[in-house]
Amino acid sequence: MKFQIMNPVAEKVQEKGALAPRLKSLEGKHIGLYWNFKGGGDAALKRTSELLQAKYPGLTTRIYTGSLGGSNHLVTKADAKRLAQECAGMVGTTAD
Amino acid sequence: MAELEKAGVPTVAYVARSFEKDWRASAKVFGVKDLLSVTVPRPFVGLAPEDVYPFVEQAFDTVVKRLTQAEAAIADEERAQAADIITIDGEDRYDALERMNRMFIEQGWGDGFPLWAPTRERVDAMLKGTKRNPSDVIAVLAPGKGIATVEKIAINAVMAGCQPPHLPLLIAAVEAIGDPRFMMRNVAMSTGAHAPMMIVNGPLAEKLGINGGRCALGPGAPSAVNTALGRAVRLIYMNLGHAYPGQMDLDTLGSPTKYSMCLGENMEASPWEPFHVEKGFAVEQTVVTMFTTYAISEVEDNYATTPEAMLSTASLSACNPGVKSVGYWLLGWRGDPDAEVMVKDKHLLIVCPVHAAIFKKYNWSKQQVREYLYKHARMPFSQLIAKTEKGAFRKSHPGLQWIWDTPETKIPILETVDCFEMMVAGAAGGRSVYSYGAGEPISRAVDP
Repeated sequence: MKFQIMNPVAEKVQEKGALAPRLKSLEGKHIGLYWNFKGGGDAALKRTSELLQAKYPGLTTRIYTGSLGGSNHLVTKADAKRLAQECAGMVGTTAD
Repeated sequence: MAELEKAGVPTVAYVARSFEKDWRASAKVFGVKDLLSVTVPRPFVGLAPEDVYPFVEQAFDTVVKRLTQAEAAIADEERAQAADIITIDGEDRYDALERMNRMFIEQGWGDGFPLWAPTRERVDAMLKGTKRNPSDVIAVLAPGKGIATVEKIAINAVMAGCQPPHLPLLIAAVEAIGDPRFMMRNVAMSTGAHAPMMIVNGPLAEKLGINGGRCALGPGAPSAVNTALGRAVRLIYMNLGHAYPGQMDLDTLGSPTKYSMCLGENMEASPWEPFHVEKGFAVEQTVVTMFTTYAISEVEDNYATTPEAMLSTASLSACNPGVKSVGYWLLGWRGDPDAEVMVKDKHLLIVCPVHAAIFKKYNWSKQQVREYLYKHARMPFSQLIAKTEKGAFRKSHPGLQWIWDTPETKIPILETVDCFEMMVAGAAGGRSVYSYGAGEPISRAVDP
């Protein structure tokens, strides 16, 4: 026998965006290091900074955190606009 | 990271191997499906810095590559969405039901218990429980930005074993969890065992048999309606919010509280106004409140005969540094970056009738109970900060940094007096329950 059932899964709102163009070179660039405050993330970004600065002359780095949240500080749209003005690229520790 | 890419900044993120599926799913939800990452063998949490460095060194060349080299778009691994109507073929009705259940588990659409079949007839019957149109959108639910229509809520209600009169309550529940202040994205995606607790107040609670007395939190016959409603909420989280375990719900261990948690209030035993009236609703309204909990703890005290004695036990129960929301306020407030809202963490004391009678005898108001808990549920700063993000504390509370010099200073586990919520439920027995909440309770009136 056959019976027909209804699909329980909701369709999703689809947002479509593309990746930003990649950088031609890292020399002389300011690279942001996004830390969401999860444990160990700061250590990973510190070592990333050391390796980047050792390899690329003139490259600078700085740790950034989002402006909103508790144990995870999240990036708002306004944060993203501000970071985009300051940073040529971003390395992050986000999920776990 | 998605917001930065949209703003024109090339990014790359370290992602632990076990979080790759979540990363891919989140990238699609946040609108940049090809978001770039570099995989590391495990999360950085729990590692000393010198143990983190080798992972970074091994990944470094890939980090540079991701920032500087365009890559082909990542192939879409997502399975094609199944049809709106699915045909199940079986030797007989029972066999077909079994096949349906196996299929639903394979697809990830079930909670692990046998499901009722959401046939067109059953869903149409369920939809008679509301005046709303089936195509009405109640909310767009995080984390997956699922479009929660009345019909989709009804389908999941059928699967859970709900009846048509329950549908308006579930619609109100979805309105509540769709409110940005509920922090659905935060609580549904976490490595923590956040469980939705559904509290029902008002005339429909009694009419529908929602238990606020003995075994209100289950299991068994007295709470059969509670169980079905709470279960429907879990299925809604998954199938409408797309918080599928292992995909966007990255709960470390899980919890039995996530299957179903729903209760009414025992107004016969309560010395106070109902929970929903305190929230500003009329007593004759039926109201659903959704309140996330990390964990619940027994507050057993069969000897207390004064409010202070009972609340002393409750205060000690509250001071559990192993629960994230105990002292969470030191790091800031929970936030939703899309809606740009922030909320405090609140906890809930579910007062059993025996303990409620003590408050009644001494004429204690809810405010007095709150003030007692705020004053006495305190822990040394050193204990609260030891296992958490000190950088977040430094950023969120620059005016409190003096406390590093006196780390044994006792501070309240919740930020303000009003962070302690309470209600009355249960039956005879000196056992209240303390619920360690995440965020704040969100209430919505039921439109029957």
